[in-house]
Amino acid sequence: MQTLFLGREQIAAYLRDLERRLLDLGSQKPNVWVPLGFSGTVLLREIFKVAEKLNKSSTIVIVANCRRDSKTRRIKITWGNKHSRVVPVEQFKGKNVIVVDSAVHSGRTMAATIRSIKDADAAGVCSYSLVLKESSALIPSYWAVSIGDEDRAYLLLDSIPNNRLVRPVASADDDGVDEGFGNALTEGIKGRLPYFTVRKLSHDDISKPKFKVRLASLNRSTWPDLYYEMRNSDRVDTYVLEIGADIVGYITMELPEEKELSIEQVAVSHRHKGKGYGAALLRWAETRGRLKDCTHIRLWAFTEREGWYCGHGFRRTGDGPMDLGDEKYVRMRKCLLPHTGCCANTTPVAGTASAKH
Amino acid sequence: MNGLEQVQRILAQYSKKGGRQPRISKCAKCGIWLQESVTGSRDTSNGPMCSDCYFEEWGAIVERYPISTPRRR
Repeated sequence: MQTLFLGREQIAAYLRDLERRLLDLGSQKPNVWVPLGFSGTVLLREIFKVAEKLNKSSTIVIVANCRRDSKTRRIKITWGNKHSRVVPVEQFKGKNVIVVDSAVHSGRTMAATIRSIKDADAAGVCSYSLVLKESSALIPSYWAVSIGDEDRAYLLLDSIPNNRLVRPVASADDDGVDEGFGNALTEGIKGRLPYFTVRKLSHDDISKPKFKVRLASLNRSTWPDLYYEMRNSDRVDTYVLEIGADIVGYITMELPEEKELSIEQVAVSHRHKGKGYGAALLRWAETRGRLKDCTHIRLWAFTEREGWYCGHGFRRTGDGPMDLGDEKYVRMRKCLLPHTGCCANTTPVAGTASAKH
Repeated sequence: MNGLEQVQRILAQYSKKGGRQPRISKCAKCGIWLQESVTGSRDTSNGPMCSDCYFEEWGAIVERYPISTPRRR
């Protein structure tokens, strides 16, 4: 996974080139600009700041606001600005139109927009995007940079979000006095605080007691088991979540040869529930999967929670269900790159939600 | 009105209505405007969610129902 940063100067250089190429079209240059939603409109502002020769009074701007129906997955487009008047599609008739967006992921939204403009008898439609993901179904007429599906791009942002394991939230009765994380735990503060460490399980942890959970299969798995499994395989890792000297949670994940990260075990001590530690471990697992260019995450979920997983991007695979008496599991799989549509044909489990993956 | 003035007007209308980041949808749980590169945007059965809420919900599930891999020992 790579992260690309495009600042104002670099973007301006790309946009000056776009201006030159459009001016080369002479009388055939587009005179109707269609930004896709808010991000397209922000980019268009930058284009018009840079491209003064294109920024003429004869220019028409029509915003395409696109919504995807969560059930049918169809894209519905409204023209104009949703906060003001709606523009009739007749505006496109006989005109040369350019559709712009800051990034094209799957390309479906831009493709649907172009199709609608063509249907409105536009003379010609071209397109521009600053960023193009490699698996996009639509390739714009012009674009600035191509990136891989696992890569991320940040454009023109006043602040760039840092990676984080939890979203820190103080408790409602927090008076703003920092009394340290030890007090926060013993006094049962419900806020999510970042005062913990996530690190790999080490040899020094072998002798430590392992907290118990309600699953017998997890309790059978000891720190030495997990440590030596990690030592014996370069594809298995166990990370522990530590507060002070206590391990209160852990996650074991395996990177198989195919591009799927398998979450083998995750548990948080019941004394530390509700503080976001489970979220921190899972977030790290997903981040690690992306870093390793994984396309999917898979895990064995409790059958009684299958509905939740299905509603949150997971789909049942062909394995299982596995019945261990007190524990019943079903194999679930989630796509890390939903915009690629690689799992679009996976059938949802009956009676569950229609999330995309 | 030139192109830039048109766009500035549209953006002003956006921000008057919805604040600084009037993206297409809000997080179904916390209500933050979703911008994929900033907040994350994940499809769920309850509507789109930001990554923070998504992991908090998943984390809460895992804290109650840990994940284990069935093994033959």
